[in-house]
Amino acid sequence: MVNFTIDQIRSLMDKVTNVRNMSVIAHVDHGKSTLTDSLVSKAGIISSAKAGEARFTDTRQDEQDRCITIKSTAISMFFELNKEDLGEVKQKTDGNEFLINLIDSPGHVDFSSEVTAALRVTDGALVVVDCVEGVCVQTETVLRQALGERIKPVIIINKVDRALLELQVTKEDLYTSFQRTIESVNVIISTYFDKTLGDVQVYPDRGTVAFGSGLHGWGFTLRQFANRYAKKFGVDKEKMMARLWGENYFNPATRKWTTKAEDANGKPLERAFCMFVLDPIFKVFDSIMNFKKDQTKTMLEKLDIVLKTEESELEGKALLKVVMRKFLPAADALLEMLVIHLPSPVTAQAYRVENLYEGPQDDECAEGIRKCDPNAPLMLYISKMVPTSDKGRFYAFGRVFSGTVRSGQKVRIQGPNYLPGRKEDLFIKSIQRTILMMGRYIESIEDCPAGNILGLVGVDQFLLKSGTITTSETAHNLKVMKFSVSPVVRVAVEVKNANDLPKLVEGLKRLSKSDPCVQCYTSDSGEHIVAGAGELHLEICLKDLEEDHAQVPLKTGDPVVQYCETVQEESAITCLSKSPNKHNRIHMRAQPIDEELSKAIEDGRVHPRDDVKIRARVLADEFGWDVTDARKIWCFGPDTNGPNLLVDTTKGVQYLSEIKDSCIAAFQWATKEGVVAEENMRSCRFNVMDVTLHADTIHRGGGQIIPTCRRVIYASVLTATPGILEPIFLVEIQCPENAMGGIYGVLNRRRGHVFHEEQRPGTPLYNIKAYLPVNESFGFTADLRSHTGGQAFPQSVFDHWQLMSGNPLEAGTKVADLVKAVRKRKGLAEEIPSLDRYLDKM
Amino acid sequence: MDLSGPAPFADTGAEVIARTVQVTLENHADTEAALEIFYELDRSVERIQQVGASRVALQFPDEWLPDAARVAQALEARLDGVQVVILADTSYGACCVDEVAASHADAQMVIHYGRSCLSPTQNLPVLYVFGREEVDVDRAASALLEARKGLEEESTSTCQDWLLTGDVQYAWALEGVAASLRTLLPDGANVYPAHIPKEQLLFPHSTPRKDEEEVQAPCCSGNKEGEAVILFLGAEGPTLSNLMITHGQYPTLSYDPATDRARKEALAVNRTLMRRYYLVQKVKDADVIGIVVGTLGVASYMRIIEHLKGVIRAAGRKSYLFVMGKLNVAKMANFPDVDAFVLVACPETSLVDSKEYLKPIVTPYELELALVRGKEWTGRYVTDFHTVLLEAESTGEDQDKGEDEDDDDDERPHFSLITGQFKDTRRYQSDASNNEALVSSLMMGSEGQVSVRNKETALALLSSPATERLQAREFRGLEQRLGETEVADEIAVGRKGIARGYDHEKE
Repeated sequence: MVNFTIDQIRSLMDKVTNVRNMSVIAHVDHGKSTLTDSLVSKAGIISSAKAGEARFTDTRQDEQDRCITIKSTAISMFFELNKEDLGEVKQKTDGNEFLINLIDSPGHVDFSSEVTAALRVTDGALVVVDCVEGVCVQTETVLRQALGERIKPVIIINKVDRALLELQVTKEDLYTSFQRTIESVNVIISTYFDKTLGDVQVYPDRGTVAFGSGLHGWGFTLRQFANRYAKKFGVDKEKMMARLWGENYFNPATRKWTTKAEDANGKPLERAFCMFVLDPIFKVFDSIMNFKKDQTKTMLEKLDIVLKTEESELEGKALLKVVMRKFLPAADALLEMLVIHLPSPVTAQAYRVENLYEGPQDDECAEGIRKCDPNAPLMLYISKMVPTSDKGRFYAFGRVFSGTVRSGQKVRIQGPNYLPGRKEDLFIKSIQRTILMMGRYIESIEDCPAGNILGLVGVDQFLLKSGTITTSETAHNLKVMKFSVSPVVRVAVEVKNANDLPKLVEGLKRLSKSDPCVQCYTSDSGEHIVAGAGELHLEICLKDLEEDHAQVPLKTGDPVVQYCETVQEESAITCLSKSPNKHNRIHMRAQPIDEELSKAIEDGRVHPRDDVKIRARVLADEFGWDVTDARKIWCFGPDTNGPNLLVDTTKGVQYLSEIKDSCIAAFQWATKEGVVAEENMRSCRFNVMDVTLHADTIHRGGGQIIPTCRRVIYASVLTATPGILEPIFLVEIQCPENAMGGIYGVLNRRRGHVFHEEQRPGTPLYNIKAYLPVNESFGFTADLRSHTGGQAFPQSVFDHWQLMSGNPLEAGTKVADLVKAVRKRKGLAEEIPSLDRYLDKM
Repeated sequence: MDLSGPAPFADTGAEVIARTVQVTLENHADTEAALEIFYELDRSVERIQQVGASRVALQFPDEWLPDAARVAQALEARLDGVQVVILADTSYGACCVDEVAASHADAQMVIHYGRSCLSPTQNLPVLYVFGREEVDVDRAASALLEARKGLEEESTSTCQDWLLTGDVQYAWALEGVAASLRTLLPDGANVYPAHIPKEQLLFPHSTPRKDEEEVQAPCCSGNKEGEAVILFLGAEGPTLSNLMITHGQYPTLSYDPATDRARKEALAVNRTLMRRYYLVQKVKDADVIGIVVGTLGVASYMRIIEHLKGVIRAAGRKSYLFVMGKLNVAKMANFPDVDAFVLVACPETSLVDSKEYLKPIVTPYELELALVRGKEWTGRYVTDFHTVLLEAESTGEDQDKGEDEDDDDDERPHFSLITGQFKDTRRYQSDASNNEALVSSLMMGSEGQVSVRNKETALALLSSPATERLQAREFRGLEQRLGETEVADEIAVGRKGIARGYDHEKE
C-alpha cells in the first residue's frame, strides 16, 4: 500500500499521460478479485488518513457470502516504472510515476451491465483467463464489449498453480495449453477487428500476455525472463523476448538458437519457453512440493531469493507461495505490463472520440475529447450511480473526457434523451462536490482534469442511471452505453401492507438508479415489474429492493417471461381498413424482417436517427432491400427505435405527408401492444400499399387515421400468419464427463438443446453450449446442481428470440395455449380478436 | 341528390337520420295500465302540479324511447295547460339529467326515466322515474343470506352490519328486502337500507347528496373498517362497479332478481383499480392534459373544471378544455398532442376504460393523485368529483403554501413508472415577462445582432407545448414546392361529388 496525501494524488491526476484507466474483466471465477487484491496490496493508494482500515474490494456483505462480485469497484494504484524501462512505453509520458485507476468488475453474466459501465470509463482492459478452464462464454462477451468500446486488452493467464499442482501437466503440454488459450483470445479479437484501433491481438513475445497465479501472488510476462537472460546471452531484450515464445529452440550443445524442434542429429530439442521460463518454475514447484530441502536451498540461492527466518521454516504450499512471490512478484509484472502496453487517456481518446461522441467530429467538444484537453469545454460521462451512506442519495460515477470539472461549477446535465437545441432531459445545475472514489473511501477534491475517473455529488437527482455533463451549450451527448444483456426475466412485486406503496415506488426508483441494467416499471395492468438479466440478478435486485431501497416487506410473484409477436409470412391479402367516417382507406400488408436486420436495429447499427440515404444504402447492400423502399421508411417502433418498420410503398397519393404523423402514432401504439397478446411486436415490416384520403383536411385528421391505421396493422398481422417469439438463453456449462448425463437430462426436460460440446484439451472438463428457453430457466441452476452432484455451474445469457412453432390462431396448438394464458394474466378476453374486427370490405 | 352544382362541403345529414342505432328495445308497457304503473304517471302528475311547471321535459333512455310518445300523451291528457317535451339523444350519458337540452326546450322541470346516477342537478327540479322492476322480496332476502354463508366460510369475521342498496329500478323494494332480512337475521344484526331519492325538487342544491354516502354513514360511525357487508340488489353494471370501486374494502354480495342468482362479488375490482393506478402513472408523465367536459348537468361542474385547471397549472402542465359530447375513439384521437384527458362527468360515466383510446382518460380524483404533491395512491378511490372538490377546498390553503417551496425541488425530474426512466417535469410558464425576455433573445443574436432565425431551434425556445409538438411533427403544413411539381400538359376533368362516394365511384 502506498500512503499519499490527497494533494499528492491530485497532482498525479494532472499528468494525464501517466494515467492508466483500466478494468479487470473475465469469466466468473477466473480470479479477477483475487488478482486485484494482490495488486492493491502492493500498489493501492490509500490516503494517509485512512490507512490501516478495512479492505478495499469487499463493499457488500453478500459479495463476500456468495464469493462473487456483484458491483464493480474502482481502486487507484501508484506505480513507479524503472527509469530504464521508460523507453518501452511507446506513447508520450512525463516522468516515471504512474497513476493506475483499476475497476474490478463482476464476472457473472447476470451482472455484465456493470462491466459495460466500467469499460466506458476505462481505456484498457486486463482480461483474466483461467489456465484450466480457458476462454469461456463470458470471456468472449466482455472482450467483445471491450473491443466495441475501443478498449485495448492485455491478458493474464491465471491459476497456473492449479495446472502445476492439480493437473501435473508437462512443460510442453502447459505451453500448448497457453498457446491454445492465447489463440482463442486472438480469434475473438480478430473477429471484432477495428481499423482505427489497429491490431490489438495479444502476443506473449511482445509482453501483452502475463502468466501467473493471483491466489499465490506471483506472475510474469516474458519481459521479466528476457531481462534475466538478455545479459547472459548478450542479446537485445526484445530479441530475447521473441525467442522465448513460439518455435524457438536452444541447443545447449551447440549454444545456438534454431527454429527447428530437432538438432542436426534428429534429437528433440526443448522449446525455449519451456527451457528458460517454465523450467525454473517447475523446478521450484517440484523441489518445494516434494520436500527436497537441499535442492530448494540451491534453487533459492541461484534465484537470489532471500527468505526471512520465519519464512524459511515454512514448508509445502506455504513456502511455495512465499518463494514464488519473491521470485516473480505478480504486482510488478502486471503493473509494468499495464503501464507499458495500455494507452493513456491522451492516446486512447484520440481514437475513441468517434465512438464516444454523438455530435459532429469537428466541434469544440469533439476536439476537446480527442486531445484530452483540460482547458476545453467540460465533457463528462456518468456511467453509473453508487449508493452513498445517506439513504436514497447516490454518487454519480464517471469520467472526465474533456475540460476540468470543479466543485460548485455550473453545468448542463444532459440525460439520455437530450437532443441539442431542445430542452427535454436537460438541467442546468451546480455540481456540489467532486470526489475521488477509492474503493469505499471518498475524498473531496477541488477539481479534476480530463482523463480521470471521479465521483460527483449533487447530480444524482437529475440523472437516472447515466448521462452527459458538459459546459458547452452546443454539446451533443456522449453515446449511451449499449448493454450486452437484456432484462428478459420479469417479476411483479407488491407491498404486503397497502400503506407502504409510496415506499415501494421510491424503492423502485432507487433500485433502478443503483443498477445499470435493471428496469422498474408498471405494466398496463398496474403491476410493479422488476426486470433483470437472469435469475441471480433478479434475486439480488429484489433483495436490495426489500432491504435497502424500499425497506418494507414485499410480496413477489412468479417470474414471467416477455414474449414478442411477429409474423411468419407476408400477408395473404392486402388488408383494407376504413376510417370511422368511411371516407379514408388504408391498404397494408405485413411481412417478416430478416433476423439480421432486426438484430442490427436492436444493436443500434441501423438507427432511426441515421441519415436516410446512408441507411438506405446499408439496407440495400447488407440486407437486400429495395433502395426506394429503404428510403421511404416512415418510422421504427415500438418506442420509435424498435425492430419493426413502417414503410411507405404507395405511389402518388395526395396529402400522404399529412397523415404520416397519425400513422406513426398508430404504428407505435400497435407495435407496443400487438394484436395477439398485447406484447411488443418484433421483426415485422408493414407496407402501406395505398391510401385513399378525403379531400378535406377536417375529415382526414388524427381521429380518423390513427384508429384506422392501427386496425389495418392488426388486420395485416392476422393475415400474415402471426407467430410468437420467445427469448432464448445461451447456456454454457463446464463439467466433468460423469456429470454430462445429468446435464442432458435436465436440458431435455426443459426444452433445451445442446449445440456444442467439446472437451477442454488437457483437462477432464467438458464445455457444453446449449440453448434454453428463458421460460424454462427458472430454477435451472439449482436443478442442474442437484442432478450433477453440484459439479455443473451454468452461465446463462439472453441470446436471441426464437419463433415458437405453430400458429397462435389455430386452437389447440401449444402457442395458442400460451397466448391464452398470457391474455388471461393480463385480464384480456382469452380469444384473440377476430380478423373481421379489423378488416373492412371494399 | 343533384350534384351538378358546386359540391356541398358535407352531406345533408340524411345519413344520420337513417342510421340504425344499436339498441335493444325493452317493452315494458303493452297496456295502458302497465304504462301507468311502470312510468308512475300518477306520481308524475302530482309532482308537476306541485312544482307548478308549465313546460315539462321528459328524458328517456334510448331503450325506452318507443314508449315516449304514449307517456307524453298520457301526461298531457291528465294535465291541463302543461306542455310536455320529449328529449332524445342526450349529449352525454343517459344517466345524467340533460339540463341544457331541457333549457333549450324552455322546460321548468325534467322527468328523468330509467337508470340514473342521481347526480345533483344545477338548477332544474327533477323527478326520477326509475321504472319499477319486479322483485320477490323474500326470495331476495333468503338468496342474499345464502350467499353470505359462503362469505363467512372464507373469513371468520362475524359481521353484524348490513348495508343494503341496489340498482335504482329496485329502489322501491329496498325497504321490503331490509324488513325481510331483519326477520331472518339473528339478533343484533343491523340492516341499513340506502335511501335513494326519487326526486330533486328543491333547488339550488347546496350540498350534494348521494346514495353511497348514506350507505357509508352507519358503517363509519359504529364499526371498525371492513366490518360491514354491502348487499346489492341488481345486475352487474356501472352502478355496482362504481359502488365496489369506491367501497373496495367491504365485501359485497349481490342478488340479481332478473336471473334469481346471488353471489359474492369479487369481480376484478383489484384489477380495475390496478389498471387505474397505471393510468395515474401515465398522467404523471403527461405534459399536456385535456379537460373533457362530459356533463353539463351535474351541479358545480364549472367549479371542478376551474379547480382542475388550477391543479394542472400549479403542476406546470398545460391544460386545454374540450367539450365534445359523448366520447368516442375517433373524436379523442383527433388530439394526439394531448397526453392525457381528464373527464368531468357523473360518477357512473367517469370510469372510462380507455384501452381502445389513444390516450388515457382519467377522473378528477386520479388527476389529483397524479399531479398534486403529497397525494398518494392508497387504494381509496373516489369517483364523485364533488368529494374531490370538497376535499380540495378544505385543504386549499395548505396547498398554496406548498407551491412556494424551493425551486430546485420543483425542477427535479420524477421517476416515471411507465418508462422506468426519469421524466423531467416541464414548466410551461404563462407569465408575460418570460415571453418578453424570450422575444428579445430571439431578436438579438448572441453578439447583439439580429440573427437569422433557425428553423429547428427557434420554435423550441418558446416554451409552449404547442410549438414543441409542432416541431416534433413530420408534417407542419403545406409546402410550396414551386417549380417542383409536374404540371400536366392538358387539363383533365377531375373528380366530382363528395369523398364518401365520388360520382365515378357510384355503381
